[in-house]
Amino acid sequence: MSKAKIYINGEFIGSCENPEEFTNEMRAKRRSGEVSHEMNITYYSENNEIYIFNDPGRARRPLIVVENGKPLLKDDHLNKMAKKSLKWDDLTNKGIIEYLDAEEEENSYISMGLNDLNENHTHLEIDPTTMLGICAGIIPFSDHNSSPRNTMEAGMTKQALGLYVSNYALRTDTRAHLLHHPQTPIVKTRIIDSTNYDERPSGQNFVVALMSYEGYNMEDAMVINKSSLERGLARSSFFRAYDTAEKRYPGGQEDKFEIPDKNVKGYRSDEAYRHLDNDGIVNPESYVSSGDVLIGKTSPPRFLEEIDEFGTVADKRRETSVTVRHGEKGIVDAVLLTETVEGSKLAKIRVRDTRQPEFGDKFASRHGQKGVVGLILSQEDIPFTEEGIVPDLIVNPHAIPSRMSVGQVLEMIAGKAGCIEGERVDGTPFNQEIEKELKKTLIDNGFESAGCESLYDGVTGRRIEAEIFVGVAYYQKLHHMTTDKVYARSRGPVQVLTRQPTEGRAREGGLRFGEMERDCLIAHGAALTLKERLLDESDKYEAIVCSHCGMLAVLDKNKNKIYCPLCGDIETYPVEISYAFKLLLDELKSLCIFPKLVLGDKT
Amino acid sequence: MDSIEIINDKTLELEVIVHNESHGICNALRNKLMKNKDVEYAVYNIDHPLIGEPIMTIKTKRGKRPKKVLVKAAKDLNKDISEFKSLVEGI
Amino acid sequence: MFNMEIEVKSQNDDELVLIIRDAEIPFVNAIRRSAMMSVPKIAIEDVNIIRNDSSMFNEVLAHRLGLTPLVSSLKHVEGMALADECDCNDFCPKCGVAFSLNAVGPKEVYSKDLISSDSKIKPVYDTIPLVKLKEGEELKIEAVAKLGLGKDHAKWMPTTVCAYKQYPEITFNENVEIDYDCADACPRGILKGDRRSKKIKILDIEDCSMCKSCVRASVNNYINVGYQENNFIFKIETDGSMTPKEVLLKACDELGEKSDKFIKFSEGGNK
Repeated sequence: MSKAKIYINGEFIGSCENPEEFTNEMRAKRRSGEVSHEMNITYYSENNEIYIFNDPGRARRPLIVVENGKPLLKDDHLNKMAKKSLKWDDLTNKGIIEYLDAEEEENSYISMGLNDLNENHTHLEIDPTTMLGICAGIIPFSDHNSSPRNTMEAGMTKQALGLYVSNYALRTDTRAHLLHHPQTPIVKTRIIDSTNYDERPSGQNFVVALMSYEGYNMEDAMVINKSSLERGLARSSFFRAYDTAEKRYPGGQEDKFEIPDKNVKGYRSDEAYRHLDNDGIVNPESYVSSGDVLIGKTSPPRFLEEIDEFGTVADKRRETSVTVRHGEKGIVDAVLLTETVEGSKLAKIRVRDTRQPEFGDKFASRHGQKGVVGLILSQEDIPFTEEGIVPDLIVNPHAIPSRMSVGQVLEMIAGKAGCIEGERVDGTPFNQEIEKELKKTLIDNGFESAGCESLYDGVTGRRIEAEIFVGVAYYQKLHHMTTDKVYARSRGPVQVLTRQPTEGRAREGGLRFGEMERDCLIAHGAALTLKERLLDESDKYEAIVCSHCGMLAVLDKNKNKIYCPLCGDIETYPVEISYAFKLLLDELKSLCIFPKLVLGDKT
Repeated sequence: MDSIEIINDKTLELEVIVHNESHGICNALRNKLMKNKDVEYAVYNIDHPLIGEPIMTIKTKRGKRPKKVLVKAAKDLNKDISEFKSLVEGI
Repeated sequence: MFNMEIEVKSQNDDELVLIIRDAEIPFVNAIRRSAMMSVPKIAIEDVNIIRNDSSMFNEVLAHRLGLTPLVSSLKHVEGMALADECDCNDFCPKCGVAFSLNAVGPKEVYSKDLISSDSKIKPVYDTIPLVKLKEGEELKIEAVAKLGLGKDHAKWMPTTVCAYKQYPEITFNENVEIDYDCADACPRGILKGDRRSKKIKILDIEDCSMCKSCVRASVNNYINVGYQENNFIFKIETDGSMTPKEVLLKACDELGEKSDKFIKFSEGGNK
């Protein structure tokens, strides 16, 4: 048998004959303290290599060492820890607990709990939930969910609105959201407790019914109760900060905050400046909408060398005011006047807008069940129980079976039990006993153990034949809201370089007609529609080409003459091309390549 | 009357749009109409929960006028309402 | 004489539970919808904020003021017109009640600090917290409360609970053997199996929620849960602005007006 190669931090340093013995000896030395605790060693028998790592930056986690099927952590140690006579570092130093990085985990066989422990195991989890991070730890009953759903929820928690920081009133963040009435989740996990999520919650507890409603909640849409929205459910505020400074230019000139004079270059209408105070800055509590000027500012002309025919320096100032973004509106929340590092005056305006949920706003539960508002239904039309309970949200049951997010179903039952008892429920994953307790709570309080209730249709008044599953779940409002996305453009600004429409809603751009859309038109055989999309509605350009040499000709506007730069005054013909193509020709010319256009008659 | 607009007014069929109303009154009237032997069918529909308005159609059997059966149904409903009201007043 | 029958099951200031017999589903549903959406109630609609130093946004404070229940019993709002039906310009004593709120911190502002221009129309409860003020923070508000309907905004909905259930009916299939499991399955303890007389006794039929746990627990279809289609148990609870009886009476009136519209249309319209 060949010797096993040993690598330390990726560098080959030697080999050894008995790799198994070697690794065990090294591990024993680490546990006793002879070798640093930061060292991790792994032996791969497939390619007979030993990897040793002790570099900083590895993610490691603590596990209890198991020998001969028995953990080294005894009750005695736990008692001493409770009395504070034994500390965590002592356990690590004695080799009872060791830290494993991702590589060494490959060699270990970790048991989740004492019940599953047998002689083959090498380590024991301190608690199964320690494998979850902060975002995954927010999910209750995540052990009952399919893992892609947990992954999606861990991403969506980062998009949820809530109380992001307690000094939001003193900060000028460019974009900030604030949920008006955040609630702590009824079904919580131990990780929520240890990360103090309750101090900054990011959602609300909704009463949810799982039924199809008239087809308005298909394909992950949801039906939401209008009266709940009017009482303040899921209402949020959106803050945007605008800022500008009075810049000083070399040569002594500087910008000025003022209501611009009527004859400055680029003066908007009188109405645009109507909210400004004498100092050119908007007053707090003004109601502003898109296009209104927040900070009136004028700047000196751009090019000082611009001397017109009479020899005087053009001193017409330009208008460089800060306006409310296109499509947004709100109330001016705060006005901040301060100085930049260089000492020039700086003004920051914070505009606040209240966002009540509307069609298209995205909501998600904590199990990857996201969806948009499909219908806002009046309370009288919503199905009701005998106690008069009306769900806030009606979610389509088709969303549950294929996604296998059973955690959502359990959370609804647990939330219902928590509401009835008036207590929070522990939904930490890897707790097998919880289901029995929840069912017992429901039965003790007169509800059906599976969480189904008999509902009556609000429209006809009849009892709905099947019993409907109703529960309480924690829903988060995500920051994808319709008002931020709805946009339209027919004609607008174009880019300077390519003369094609600009990109992005903020720049009033066009929507991209991409490659796949082009394929669809080709498939339909709609040739002229395709030409219209790509040429007429984009960057159509009429170029004049010399008939002799094929070069683009020059049009002299002053003398109104067309001539070829190479051939002189010769016959030229106009050609319809895209400006991007003309740009390509210019780029080729810059490489000293002569792009010759060979012309032929259209027919 | 602006709030009830006629679409179709034939001898045996009446189709109206009931402005500013919802399922409550229309369903109750439809129920009373269907109990009437002279009514072939009575139906109402609201196209969309938010923007739709009820369109009510009444078809009567030979010899009966739709408006007359509508009056009878509304009067029957009024009778039920006043009965209920006097019972509640006595609580 | 009468077709319908009403029996009061329980009654107190806020809540009323009735058993309605021999009524029809569309009628009871129409009463329910009318009680929620068509009964006029007073709530604060326009808020003029003169000074607000607190950390609560103006619109959030105005929202809370709007949701505060105000006394709107029928004898107090008699003669008042709905806001859009009154022919005055902005508001007048006929269609609105003026409120004012002045407070200086440090203080927690409660609904009792809302001072009304009309001594009878005031907040129902004195202890609803509105906003907290720190030292030196001042709050000066003028508000107008107007009459409105529940269908326009939830603040004008007088009921908190307005629902009914069909009167349950439990029947036993005597052709199969008696099954005592279904009695144990009931979450409300309505059924009690009596092994001596070989029967299952129904202790309180009106408490049955028709959850059908007993039906599912019984393997041989011994028990069947149904309902009496024309009997209802109606529960109505209000937020204190009116009594449940007033709401029901007004709901009947509003529903009557709607059906009168049809009578007027059929009799008076173009023949």
